[in-house]
Amino acid sequence: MKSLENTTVSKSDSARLPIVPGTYPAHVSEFASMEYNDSVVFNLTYIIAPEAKQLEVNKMFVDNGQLVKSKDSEGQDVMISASYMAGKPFKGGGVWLTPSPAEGEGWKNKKYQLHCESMGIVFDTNEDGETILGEIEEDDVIGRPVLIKLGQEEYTKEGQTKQAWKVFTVYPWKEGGRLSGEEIKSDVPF
Amino acid sequence: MGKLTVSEAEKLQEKGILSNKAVAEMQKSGLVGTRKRGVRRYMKTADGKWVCPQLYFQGLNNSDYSKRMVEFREKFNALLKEYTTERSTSSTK
Repeated sequence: MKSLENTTVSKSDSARLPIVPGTYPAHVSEFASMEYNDSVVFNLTYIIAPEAKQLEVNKMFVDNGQLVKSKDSEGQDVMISASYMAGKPFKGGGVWLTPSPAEGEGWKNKKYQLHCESMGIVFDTNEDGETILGEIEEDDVIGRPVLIKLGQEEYTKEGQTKQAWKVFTVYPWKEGGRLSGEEIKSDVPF
Repeated sequence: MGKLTVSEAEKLQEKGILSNKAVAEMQKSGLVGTRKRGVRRYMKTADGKWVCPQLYFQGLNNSDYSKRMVEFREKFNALLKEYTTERSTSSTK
């Protein structure tokens, strides 16, 4: 074989840029709900918005299963555009709604209220200033803009520790526009 | 529901994802922290493990700091500098 001395591949030269944890602009792209006992759990998927290209993230590579920051020759972090993250879908944790909660158990729906309000859903209030919740449906949420906090979750399966990417929290993205169902489908790159 | 840190919010603002008004609203509604975290500082236990001292006012909730609390925090930070060191990596996992 002819040696190519000037053609090297370092550890940090990944074939594909790995997913990087962080806060990204996104849209709700999938909706699923399931009844469980007297509650409903909503499972939402979010797709990272094209506006992610405005953000910079650390260039990273995977070494022994761990994400490692790439450094330049002076030891400084290498930053790159997050444009490659756009179009990637990520699932969130279940959001629970308990309709007609027992006296003193209204707190059970607080996370649901905050999650919905972060998606820009406005609930009515009664004369006492209490929020009157409603049960969200697919049409209420698909395409809504949010900021998502993306991270890795560890779990154990068949005795092995595995990692999965998950949306841990959503925040309002007031500057983001809502997409239609068709626009969301056309954004999915497969 | 976790909060966005001040630096995360600032980054989103600088890059034009969030407006100044949106960040201010998020801070008002408690979705964004209101102060920057300092660099983590560490000291060693007797058996050589790194630990990170923390100052925490239990029961503070959304109340404001009093003058004495600010003074206390400043003295704590001075002690922190005296007794601890920065580490080259901040991972404690």
